[in-house]
Amino acid sequence: MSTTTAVAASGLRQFAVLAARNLRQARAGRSVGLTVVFPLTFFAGFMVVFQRLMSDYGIAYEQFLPPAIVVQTTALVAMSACYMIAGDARSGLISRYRTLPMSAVVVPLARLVVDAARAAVAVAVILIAAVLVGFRFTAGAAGAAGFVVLAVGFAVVLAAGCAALGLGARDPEQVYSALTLPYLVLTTVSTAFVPVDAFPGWLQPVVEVSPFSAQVDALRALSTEGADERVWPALVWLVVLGLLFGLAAARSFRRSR
Amino acid sequence: MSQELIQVSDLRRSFGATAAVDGVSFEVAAGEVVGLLGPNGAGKTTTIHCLTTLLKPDSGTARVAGFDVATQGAEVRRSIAVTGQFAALDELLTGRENLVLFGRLLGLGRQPAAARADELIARFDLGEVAGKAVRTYSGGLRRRLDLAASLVVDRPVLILDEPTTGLDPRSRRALWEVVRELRDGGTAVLLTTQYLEEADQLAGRVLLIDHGRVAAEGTPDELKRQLGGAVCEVRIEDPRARAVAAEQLGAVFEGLTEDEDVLRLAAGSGTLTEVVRRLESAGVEADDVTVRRPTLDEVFLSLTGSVDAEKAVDVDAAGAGR
Repeated sequence: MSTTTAVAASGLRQFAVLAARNLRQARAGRSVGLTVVFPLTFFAGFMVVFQRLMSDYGIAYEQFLPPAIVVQTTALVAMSACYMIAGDARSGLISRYRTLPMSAVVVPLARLVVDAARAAVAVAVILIAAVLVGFRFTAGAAGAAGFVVLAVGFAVVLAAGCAALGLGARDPEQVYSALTLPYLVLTTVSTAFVPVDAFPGWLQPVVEVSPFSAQVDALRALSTEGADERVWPALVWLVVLGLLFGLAAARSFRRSR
Repeated sequence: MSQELIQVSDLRRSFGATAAVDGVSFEVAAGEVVGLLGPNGAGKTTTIHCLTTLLKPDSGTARVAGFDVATQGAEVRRSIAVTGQFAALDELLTGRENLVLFGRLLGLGRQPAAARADELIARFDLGEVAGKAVRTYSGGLRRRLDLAASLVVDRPVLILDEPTTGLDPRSRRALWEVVRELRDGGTAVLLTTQYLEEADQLAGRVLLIDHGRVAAEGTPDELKRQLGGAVCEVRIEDPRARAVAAEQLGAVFEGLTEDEDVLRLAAGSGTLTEVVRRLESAGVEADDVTVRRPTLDEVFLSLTGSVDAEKAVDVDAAGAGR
């Protein structure tokens, strides 16, 4: 057997190698398809049921709803990230990575870059469907670009949190179904589907501080009037959650129990 | 640097109230194979996890290639090759792609990683399946690929956690051959096993681990002697014939014991023929005469002080047979 001397592997190469592998995993799992089917069905159903009702209240639902569907999709992308990384944890692959000379951030980062790509594709699919039923970016190209960047950024931040959970989990199915409840609560108890004043008074403060409301409101601003003060809460949430979840993911990888 | 590539001193690690590793000390030198032998739950894997930086020790020290596992994790990880208890492979990729992936992660360029993968495929006899997805592999194939994956780059220390569990005899022997080669090349090898035979075949030194402690330590031969070696058992159902046989054999062999209808004595070379000859000349017909080596069960029972030979299982069942 020939001698193969180990050279110090650069983090960048490790990142690229793992990202390529994760992309392949995502494609093999048809993960984009699975993350858009549910939101698209939801979109169609809500449009059929509520469009006329909402127009009675002066809300153009074809313009109001798509940002909510986009948020729903990005949350599902994040949840499937948890599922995939928990699968790698179960197969022992993550443990093997942990015995290799790798920086703690490489594995989570290689996960997140692929999640960003998946989110971008999923968001594009939703937007195409939205435009078909009358959704428009009335604030121009800059608003549209901001919309996509913010949506993908939100997906990545949520995916970081989900990756942190998934790295510690042993059962992908279990952790995925455990995430379903917070997903349903966070998307419904927010301004995603109805305006804040449609909620009972005691619930309104909760709806107002929800990061999901902040995200949906910012996306609505970017698709209509363009970047205004409604974008700030979303950006603050993005940075805070990004730091928190990013740290959690790196720690979760290099956790010495 | 010291030639002792693994130095473990009074290592302790608990999970809640359970002390999984309870004061283990040992060393492994370059060019040496040391086996941790013990039943499930003895603390073998926890020890391995501490050495591979997957777990932090509660107290005590462990140094690998001179680096402290608690404070110099990155350096330790650069010095070890690890094969865990369960094949840690990418199910999605083919066998060859797995080897290339790990080569690339360990810093090999595209070409060297591919060349090394082909070399390992040949070495581990994986040629026929190298192009197939790992999820289609049998357990034995996975173990082989898993070991190959941990040998993609040369490391001074090789750590194997039950490397041959679930392997067929041929693959097991092939793996032993690889381990011996690496040892001869100067690698320090630490392996855990549940099989006495495997420890016997591979390890220069064996540590018997039980309840998180080192119950006994020595070369395989020393341990076997310590455990009393082989046992000759003569079963005679007729009590009168048994009494005659006991008298006859007791005159020649020391330490004869009687246990219901079985006479038991320590067996050396020639014991069996001598026993049969003595019984014949005394005109006693035995119902059964056997010689067997102590089983792994007996090893641990004797070490934990509760020998119950009646429950001892067949030699081969414990993997102690040849």
